[in-house]
Parts: sequence; structure tokens; C-alpha cells
Amino acid sequence: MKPDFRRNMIWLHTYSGLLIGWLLFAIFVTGTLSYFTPEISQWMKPELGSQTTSNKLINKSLQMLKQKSDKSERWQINLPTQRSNQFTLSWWIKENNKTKRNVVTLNSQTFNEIHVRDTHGGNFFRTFHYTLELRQYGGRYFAGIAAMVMLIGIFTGIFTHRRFFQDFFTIRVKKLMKTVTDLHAIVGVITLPFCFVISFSALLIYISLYMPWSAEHHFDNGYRELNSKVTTSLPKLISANKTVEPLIDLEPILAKVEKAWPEHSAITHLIYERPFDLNGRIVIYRQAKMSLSNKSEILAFNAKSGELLEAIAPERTARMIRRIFYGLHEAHFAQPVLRWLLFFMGVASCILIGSGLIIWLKKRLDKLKQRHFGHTLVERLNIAGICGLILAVVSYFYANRLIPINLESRAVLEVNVFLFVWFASFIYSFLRPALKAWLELLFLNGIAFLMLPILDLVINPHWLIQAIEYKNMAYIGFNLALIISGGICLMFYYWLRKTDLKTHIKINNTNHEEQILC
Amino acid sequence: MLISFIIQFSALWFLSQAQKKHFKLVFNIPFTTYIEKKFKGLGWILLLLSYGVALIFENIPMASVYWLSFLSLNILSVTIFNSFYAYKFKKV
Repeated sequence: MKPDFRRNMIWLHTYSGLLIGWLLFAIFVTGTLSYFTPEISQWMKPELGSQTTSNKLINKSLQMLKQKSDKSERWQINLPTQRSNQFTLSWWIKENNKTKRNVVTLNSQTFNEIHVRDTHGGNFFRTFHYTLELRQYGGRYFAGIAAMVMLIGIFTGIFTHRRFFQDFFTIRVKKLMKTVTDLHAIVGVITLPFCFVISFSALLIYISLYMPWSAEHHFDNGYRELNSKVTTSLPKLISANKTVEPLIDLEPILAKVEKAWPEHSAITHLIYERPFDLNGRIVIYRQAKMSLSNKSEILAFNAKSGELLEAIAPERTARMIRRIFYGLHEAHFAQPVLRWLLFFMGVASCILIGSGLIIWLKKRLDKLKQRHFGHTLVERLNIAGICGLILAVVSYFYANRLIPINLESRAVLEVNVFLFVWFASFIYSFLRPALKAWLELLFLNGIAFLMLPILDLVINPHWLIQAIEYKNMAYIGFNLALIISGGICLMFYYWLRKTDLKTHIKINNTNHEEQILC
Repeated sequence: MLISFIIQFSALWFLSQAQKKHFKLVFNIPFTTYIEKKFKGLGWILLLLSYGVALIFENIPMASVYWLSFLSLNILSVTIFNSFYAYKFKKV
């Protein structure tokens, strides 16, 4: 390998990372949180309580839906699962050539309606990580560029580290910058497959947006038409124009479902198409666990005879590959252990990006006699982009508990709190000396994380008590995660303060006071 | 799956010790080519075995995802183990 090539790779790795590092960090933090979207939503919608799930809920739900309207075009029952405690019934009614969806959220034990607070819940992090709250202003393009830069960073990173395999089994712990550099190298290695799959699949998911030209050239309706041509689904249901009573005892069908899916027959939701028509059809959706693909596994039955209908035809290989990458990106199939492992890799990726940004600045400041505005800007953006973002995330949870429930557009307000705190931390980082800003924000993060479960308990102790009573691990786990996060922030705060004090003493002894400011 | 995880951890530990840099942090005996070959061989065999064990519990795609995720965690675990050992005995 020519030395020039390596130098070019280092340059590309350094500046591509710097240019988009903060954006990547925000995308990876929110994306990592998205592995627990239903769990976060569960905590953010405490009115739902702890739900129990059983197939027995289906028959009662069907009876209830039948009473709602005899003109329904379609029914849908979303069952509570281990991860999501949403138990909802939906029915669609055609009015003036428009189909209107009606939804009701229920308590699975009493079947009483629950009024849930207006919040985006964990879904906010999921949508933020690819739209950046700029859906109408090219947010998805920015996210796409970030994914592309991440891929560049991954490949150039391999060339940047000469002793790639020799170095990755040790971290030098005595000097702060050596620790950070080693940590950057080690997490770079361990997250290599993860970051590649995540970045590549991110580009594949929105391939129609990033590379629309081929589809637009070959099809009148562009990607939409291509999509409809390569996606296989159930045939369109044609009405028999003969009214019948809908099926409200699903036991025989559920028995068939268990027979068809003997290994894992848990259901997430079911759709009853044209319940009052002779040709009515019941579609059962299996809980994702067995396949990496994001294509739902379904079974369709004739509502009248209970007969199992023909399965959906398999899709083309290219389509299936895209679906597998889509599935790998979302990890809908991941069971708790795997989900935590993926979360861990997401956190490691955040450490990779964050440490890269810190190393860039430190290496330059060490060589400089006088810094210019660019260095200060990078320094402050590091503080706001890393510590500020974490504070914004925790503020979003505070907003969820503190904004009055009956306030109009409270979901939007929660998001605004997140954005405002993030921006405020950026301003704050300019008002304080860099190291102090790091320490203060870290301390604030730690305290904020630790106080949140207490606030939750103070507002309504019943939520946590019920979660313990029903062994609702999502709710309890979220509170535990808050405590652990707070502990980590405070530990890091004390460690950094201790290191800082040592540095101060050392520098004072050698009369290099200027370096303290760095 | 836990068995696969433990085997993989052992495999990575042997592979890490097949390098002089890490070996001398842990052992007080001289590092020889014989030791390197033995450790490397054992490491690779155990690594393959851990994948084989993962395949017993899950289908190929799912087992591969688990195995790769374990790999990341185990590399970090071995790193922390080596670093802690080196730090404890003040060799770094």
C-alpha cells in the first residue's frame, strides 16, 4: 500500500467524521433508543397501566366491535404484548365516499376505555433519527448523507489504524487521551459489522428517495408503481353483496393458527375485512421472532367457513434482500437478550463517534499555540452535541410527566422541550469554560436521570406499584435504566473531575497555565 | 446460547493471548512460536465451535445475528479483562 493512499484515507476519515459527527451522534443516540420504542412509549403512557394478554381477548373484542357499528368496512384488534401495552380496537366506516377510522384504547381486564395522554412516546426518537424533525425540509436526505459518510468513515477507519488486530485487545487506562484513543479504536472494531449493516440498510430503506431516477425512467408512477409490482400481498377482497352476521367466536380459527405456527403462535394483531359481507376475510399477524425479514407473517381465513386461504406468494430475491436489511435495521425480531446486545452496540457506536470528535479537537489543540474560532466552535459543539443531547433526551421525559395532561398539542410541546433544551445547552457551552461546561452538564445529566424515577413515583405511585404487581418489566426496566444512566453520568463526572484536578496540579508545577484553558 | 457465548469468550481470550503484546501482560513465561501456534489454533477452533453451538439453538440467519452480537461484546469483554489485568499488575 502506498503511504500517500493511507494519508488520504486518514484525511478523509478525520474530516468526514468532523463534518457530520454531531449529526451522526444524534442519529445514533436516537436510533439506539429506538430499539426500545414500545418500552419507552409504555413508560410515557402510564395511563395504560399493565395489560395482560390472551387470545380470549379476541372474542370479546369482536363482540364489542360488532356493537360499535353494523356498517364497518374493516375491524382491527391490536393485542397487548410483552413489549407494548396498547390494546386497541379500530373500525372503519365509509361516510360520503371517505373511510373514517375510529380507534378506542381499552383496559384488557375490564374492557373500559382508557384516555391516554397526548404524546409521541418512543416513536419520537424513531422518527427523529431519520427525519431530524425536518421531514418537509429534506431531513431524510440529511440522514442519508450522514449514513453515506458513516460508511466512508468505516472504510477509511480500517486503513487509518495500522495495527488493526494487534491493538484491539487492550486499553491504556492511565492517560485520559490514550484511553479515549484506544477506546475509539476498540469500539471501531467491535461495531464494524453493526455500523456497516445499519448505515447500508439505512440507505437501502430510502433507496427510492436517494436514487429515484431508474424507477422514474421505467415506470409512469415512479417508485410507487415499481413497489406495487414487486410487493406480493393478499388478493383484493371483492364484496359478495350479501349481508351476513360476523364471526365472533374465533376459537376454531385460533386452533388452526396454533397448528400452522406450532413453534411460536403469538399474535400481535388481526384484521377482519368486510365483517358483514359473505366474503369477509380474517387476517392474523404473527409476532415477529422467527425471521429477519420485515415482511409480516400472516395467515388469512375465510370468515364464513373458517377455511385457510392461499398464502401470499414469495417475493423476488432482490426484494427479500431489501426486506432482510430493513428487518436488521429495525430489529423487530430481536428478543430481549439480542435487543440489549444491539442496544449495547448502538451505545458503542455513539462512543465511537463521540470519542472521534474529542480526539480530533484534542490532537489539534495540543499542537496549537493559539486557537481560532473554529476550534472553539468544535469544542462547544462537542459539549452541546454530546452532553446537551443527552440532557435534551432526559428533558423530553420530564416534559412528559410535567406538562399538564389536558393541554392542547402537548405532544408537540414535549418535542419542543427536547429541541429547546438541546439549543440551550449549546448556548450554555459558550457561556462557560469548556471543561466546566462538560462537568456541569454531566452532573446535571446524572442528577436529572436519578430524579426522574423519584418524580414518577411522587406524581403517581400507583403506576410503579402496578408495574411491580404485574411484573411489567418494560416499566420497571425503564426506571432501572434511568437510575443506571444517572449513575454512569455521575461516575464519569467524578472521574473527569479527578483527572482534571490531577492535570491542574501537574500543569501548575510545570508553569504551563495556558494549557489549563484547553 | 449462553454456552456459545462462553465458548466464544474463551476463543477470543486464546486469540488475544496468541499475541506477544497481550501474552506478556498475563504470563510470566517467555512467548514462543509454539505457544503462539497452539493458542491461535485453539482460539480459531473454539470460535468455529461457538458458531456451531449457536446453530443448534437458532436458524442460520438468527444464529448469525446472535453470534456477531456476541462477538462484539466478547471482544470488549476480553479487552476489559486484559486491560484490568495489566492495570492491576501495573504493566501498562
